[in-house]
Amino acid sequence: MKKLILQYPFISVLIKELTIEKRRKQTLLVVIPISFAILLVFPLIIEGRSFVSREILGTYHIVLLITLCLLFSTRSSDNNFDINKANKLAGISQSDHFLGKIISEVTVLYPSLILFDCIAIALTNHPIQTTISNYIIFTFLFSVCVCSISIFVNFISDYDSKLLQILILVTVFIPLGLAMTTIWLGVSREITSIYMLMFFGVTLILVGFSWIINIKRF
Amino acid sequence: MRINISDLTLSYGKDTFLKSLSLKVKGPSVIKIYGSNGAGKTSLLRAIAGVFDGDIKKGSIEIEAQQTIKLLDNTPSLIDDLSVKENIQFFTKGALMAEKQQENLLVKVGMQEFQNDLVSTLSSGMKKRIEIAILIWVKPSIVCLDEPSNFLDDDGIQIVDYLIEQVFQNQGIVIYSSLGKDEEKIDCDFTVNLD
Repeated sequence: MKKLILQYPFISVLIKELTIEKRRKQTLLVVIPISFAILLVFPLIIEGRSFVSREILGTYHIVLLITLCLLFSTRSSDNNFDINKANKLAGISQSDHFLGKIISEVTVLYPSLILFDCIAIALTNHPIQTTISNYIIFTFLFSVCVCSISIFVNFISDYDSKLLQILILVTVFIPLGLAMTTIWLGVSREITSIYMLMFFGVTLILVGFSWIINIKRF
Repeated sequence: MRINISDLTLSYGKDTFLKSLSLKVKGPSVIKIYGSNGAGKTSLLRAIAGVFDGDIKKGSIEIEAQQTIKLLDNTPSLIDDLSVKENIQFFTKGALMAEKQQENLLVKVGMQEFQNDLVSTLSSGMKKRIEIAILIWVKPSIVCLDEPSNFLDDDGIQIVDYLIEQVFQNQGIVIYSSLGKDEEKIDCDFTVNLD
């Protein structure tokens, strides 16, 4: 392990971030309960009963995704100066920091997304209309996109202006959520392949963009 | 070991300070930088350490390649949500996995009793001692100390002296700042007045 950390310093960042997450329990105590409450309350507000009809299933899923991702992305405030200072003291490059941070974020968000989709399936009685492997790949790509955007917004706004941050995040999460919901509701096999390719391209662009901004910023 | 600062002017937005500072330092040496509040001591040290968040308006700082430069200022770099032990493991990139080594290092700075405590529960002086412990382990070639005796008691100041001695023995450069010419009682080779 010692050798591995010295060879790949991002592991050190990964351990640090996961330890902080474990200690703060923000996802467990804040993000998940609020998202769960919205999951239960949404049909009551829209339809006046605890039942989600087929017509609003898409909206229901998008609202769930956006709420969960938005709460997740804004759950903690990072300060660029402090991060840079700590990384300099630890001898960790910005590139390693980015890699460690994105892996830790995906490690927390990915199971949360799957958990919420399972709860949504149970509550709406509407199974996901795609294969398990497709669903796993799509959800993974989606969580990578969300995490890189969240890290990018952290760099540019320094988490000072929450409103600006929320606006940028929602603007990006809506099209990403739309793509995910389409898969959830079911499309033909050919279109699923095209979607997957598109999603993969978008993920690469977003991760690359955030990575470059991260390195250039310092 | 060499630092070459030429015609350096720093700014935070419209506020310009430290106008056209030039300085050449060769290791081993200990340099004292002093000046009144707002003279630019902390900013200069941060600029040398590569963590200055303002703008370098003019001039340059050249540091001989392959040097490890570390900064110890009055805002701790430690992570509040981690324990002392976890912080040391993170800042030494896990190099201190051996419990014994870790304990020895904490004994050196008088913090062995607090190794499982969260950093957020410690005082400023204790946090500074942990950062010094990390610097002692890392053995930097150049170390920038911003008002090093701040928050520290007599034992803490002795630990700073030990760190300076260690860097000096490794042919390194120590740059430290103080408010006045006679403020910090650390021997130095030459002084720079920023007022």
